[in-house]
Formats: sequence, C-alpha cells, structure tokens
Amino acid sequence: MLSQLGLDAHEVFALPGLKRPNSIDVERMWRWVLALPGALIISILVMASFPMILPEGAGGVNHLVFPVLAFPLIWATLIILPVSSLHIRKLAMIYGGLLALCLTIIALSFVV
Amino acid sequence: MALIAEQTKRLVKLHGWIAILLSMLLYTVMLTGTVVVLDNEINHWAESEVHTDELFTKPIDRMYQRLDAQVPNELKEVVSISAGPDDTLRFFFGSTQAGPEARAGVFGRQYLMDPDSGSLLRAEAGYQEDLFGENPGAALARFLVDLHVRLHVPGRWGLYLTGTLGVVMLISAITGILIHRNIIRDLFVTERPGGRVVSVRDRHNLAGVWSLPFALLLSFTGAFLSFAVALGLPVVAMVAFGGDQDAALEAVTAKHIEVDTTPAKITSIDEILKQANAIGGNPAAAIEIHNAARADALVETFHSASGGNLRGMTLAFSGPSGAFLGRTHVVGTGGSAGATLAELTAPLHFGNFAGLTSKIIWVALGAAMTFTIVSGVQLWARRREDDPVWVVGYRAFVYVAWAVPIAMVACCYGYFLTKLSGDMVAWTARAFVLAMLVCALLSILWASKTIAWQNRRFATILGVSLLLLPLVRLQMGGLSLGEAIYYGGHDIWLMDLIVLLCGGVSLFYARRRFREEPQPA
Repeated sequence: MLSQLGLDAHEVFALPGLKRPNSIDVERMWRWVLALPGALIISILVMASFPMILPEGAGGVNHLVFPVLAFPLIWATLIILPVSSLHIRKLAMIYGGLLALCLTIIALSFVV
Repeated sequence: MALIAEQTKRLVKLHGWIAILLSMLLYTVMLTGTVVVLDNEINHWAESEVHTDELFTKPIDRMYQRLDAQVPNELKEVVSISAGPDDTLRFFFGSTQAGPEARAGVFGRQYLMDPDSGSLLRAEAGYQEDLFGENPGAALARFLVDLHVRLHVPGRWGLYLTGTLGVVMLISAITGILIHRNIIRDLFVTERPGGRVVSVRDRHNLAGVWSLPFALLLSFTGAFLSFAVALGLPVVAMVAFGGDQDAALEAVTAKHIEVDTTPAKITSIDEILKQANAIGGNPAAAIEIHNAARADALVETFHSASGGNLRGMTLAFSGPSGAFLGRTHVVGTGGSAGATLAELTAPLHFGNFAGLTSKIIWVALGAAMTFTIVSGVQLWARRREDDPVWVVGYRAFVYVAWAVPIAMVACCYGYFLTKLSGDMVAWTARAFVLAMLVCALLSILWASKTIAWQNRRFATILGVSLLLLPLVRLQMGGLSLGEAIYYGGHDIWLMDLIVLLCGGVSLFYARRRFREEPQPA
C-alpha cells in the first residue's frame, strides 16, 4: 500500500506527529549488519570452506578456482538479500546457519 | 537504539557522502577501464612503434644458442624470449634466488638483441620484475592501466578497493535488472525534452539497459581479477594449504613435469616455433623455457586468440627433442570447467579476443557504462536538489567527472613533452596530479557559477587539449600520419583519430550548451 503511494515506512514515520516504532529501527539495524559486515564475512567464509567440499575435477583445480570465481557473486547476493527481504528475522537465521556451517567445515579441515 | 534528530541527520549526511565517494571512484575505474581496453594501441601510439606480430617468424635460434653458451646453468631455471623496448628482442635467463637476503622474484640476465642483424644492443643483470618494468616508453600505458587496476593505491589495498567497486557495480547491475519492469521498452526509449527529472531518467534508462549485460560481465570479471590473487588465493591457501600461499599457487599453476636433472641442450628453437606457429594458428607472441639446461626442459609458446576463439593458446614442447606435448592451461594440469572459466575471465574483461573489432565494441559499451554512472548520479542529485549535502556532493562529482579525463589527457602531455629528456615516468604521474589540482582550483573559483556553466568550460578545456595532443606528439618526434600509414603503424593513426574525434565531440558539446545558454539582452 505504502509502496503504491511511493512511500516507505521510514518516510511515513518521519512525518511530524507520527511516532516511529522501535521495531523499525531494530529491523533497519539488522539490515545494515547483515548487508555490510555480515555479507562480507559470510562470503569470505563460504569461499574458504568450498575447497573442502567441491570436487577437484580433471584439472585438479576446480575446488580452488570455483570458490574464488563465485566470491563476487556470493558477496553481491548476500548484500542484496537483506536490503530487499521482507522477512529479515528469517534471513538473519539463514545467515547465522550459513555462518555456523562454514565455520564447522573450516574447523574440520584443520582437525582432519 | 533511538537516535535523536541531530544524530540521524549526521548519519544521513555520512550515507550521502559515502554514496558520492563510491560513485566518484566507480566512475574513475570505469572511465579508465574504457580507455585502457586500448592499452596496447596507446603504447604503440606513445612510443611511435610500428608494431608487427611477426617477431617470431624470423630465425632466432642462432641468437639463443649464442647467449645460452655465455650464461651459467644456474641461471637457466626460466628463460623468457619476448618483444623488448624499441623493437628489440628480449632474452632473459634467470632463477629464483634462495637465502634470507633474496627477495621474491626471478633474478638473472637480460639481453636486448636486434631481431634483424642478431647483434647485441644491451645487456644487464637484475630482477625480472624490475628489468621488464624498466621501459620508460611504456610509462603512459602503464600509468593508465595502474589507475584502472588499483587506483594507484599501493599493495593489495588497491586491488581490494577496485574489487569492491566491481562488486558495487555488480549490485547496481543486478538491482537494475530487478527494478526495471520494462527492459525491452527502455531499449528504445527517447529522452523526453525539457531537461526535467524524467529526461535524466530516460537517458539513464537508455544507457543503463543497453549496457546491462556488459555491466554484469565486466563487473563480475573485474571483481574476480582484483580479488583472485589479493584475497582468493590467501583465503584458499589458509584453509586448504595451512596458510602456505606458495604451495597454493604451485598447486594451481604447476606444470607437473617428470623431473630429470640430467644436463641437456635445447633443440632448435626455430624448429619448435615452426610447429608452434602452425598449431597455434598465428605467430607466437612470447616463449618461455623452464629448466633450459636439463633433460626435462619444457618450451612454452604463447599465442593470442585467433580463428574465432575467445582464448589464446599456450603450447608445450619438449626442450631436448622438440616434440609437441600438448596445450597447457593457465591453471590446472588439464582441461576442466574451472580452468576454462579462469582462462575466459581475462579475454572477456579486456575484450582482446577478436582484435580491434572486439576492442572497439568493448570501448563503446564501456563508454555507455561510464555514462550510466554519470546519469545515475545526475538523477539521484536532481531528486535531492533541496538538500545542501547533495548539492555540494554533486558539485564534487562534477569536478571528478571532468577532472579525471582532463588529467588523463594531461598525463599524455606530461609523457610527450618529456619524451626527449627521457623523464616520462615521473612526468606522466606529475602531470596527472597537477591537472587534478588545477581542476580542483577551477572548481573552487567557479563555485558560484551553475553546473551547466562549469560543464561548458570544462568541456572546452578537454576538447581543446585533446585536439592539440596529436600536434604535440608529432613535435616531440612521433611518426606523422603519412609515415604511420606507410610503415603500417595503424595504431598510431587510429589513436590520433580517436583523440581528435573525442576532442571534436567535447567541443561540440560545449558549443551546443553555449548556444542553449540565455544570452544577455
């Protein structure tokens, strides 16, 4: 409804007399956290963990080349998602899960 | 966390300035990237060099054998034969140095030979990186390429910066696709008159939609090329190789030859070249020999893309027997999806896979992308005309938008005017910085004038300086148009033509805007 009027929630609550709900600030903060440090850290960790799970291929380099090749795409996607998502809490959980998964794979690589 | 109004205002200002700063950097990388697609042509133009691809069609084996006999076997780990400065043929014999005082890189001897007579013109010792980068004639192209690749920020930080800008561009392209509801219609949109916000939006949509696929491709490959060695290799090395980056690099680029340290001689290089030129489809551009004094010596010949191929080719031959061993890959030991994709990123980013044709297409699409950035900032600023932060920010962007091309032309002047004294390396950079400072001073002096007024003046400065540039090049000992055509120096007259064309367009823009300016009664 608001978007059809060309407005967003932040602009509406910036109008005088309307109190801005605290949840909007929290949501905005999470979007920033996930899109900036979150996206960068997770994309680097994905790049670091992929060599452990990808096959080497005929040339023996697929597991090393693909993560580096995919890094810009992964980073860009992880920035766009929190900005556009309507369900930031669910997305935060997915990001958290991805972070835990990558850290586990990396930790296992040092143990094994 | 509740912010008071003053804090919010400051954060919004910070947000605006970061966006402005990023757009300035992105614009600089895009503009320089558009220009350095023609880096080889710029090099030949600057050096007045009549470039031929036929360096390795002449016999070179006698020269090689003569030099090989003079060099100790310890300096034959890597032998490189390539085009040297001033139309010479460069032979480099070297080895990686061991010991605590040795720096990273290959140390050895370089010989510059006359390819026609076979006589020795210059011999010197040093690190390969220093000797190969020493050519002051290449200062102009090298300065522009460095500006594009790392914005002259030293070390890995420059690559991090341009890699991040590549990701910013990638995000702009992806979000551009997502928010455009009528991409096909926007391909044929015409600008609505009146200089309104919708007019700027039409311009932005038109340039943006046409360059979308290219923006995706270039930003992705550019980000990969920046991050691959600066970030990707250390990260992969940390996890998969216990932090040993050399081991990671070795795993990716290793030749996997069966080691045989028995002393042996290289067979005729000319015979190998004859085979290589036939298999490669075009004459080799460079030759590299690994372990030249041993029985496991490997000769690699490098060929540029030809016959409709996107990628160039590297062919491997046995050094002692001259037998063809097969194609080698930039990464990996055999053909695989990873190796193919890694090899494709460079030609797709540089646009050098189909000679001048693909380069001109890349320049045109790069120019469209650069214009998209300018029109995007214009659109953003027009919607925020009442905000003093954006007014100042937009003026700063206008300064960068004009100062960078003017400074690029100025560094050409710096190069040509010092060509006779041989101090081109320092003056190419100095002229760039000086021009940026002069433009900054002009921007401050013209702060009270409108942006349209500033645009006209800057366009005039750019146009006039471009139109005079071929004249200065000629006066400083460069080949004339007639000589360039006669000796087959196509790059020279082509670059002169491009410079004159850009100068003409810039002056035409300035004059048209002059005409639109209301005249005093």
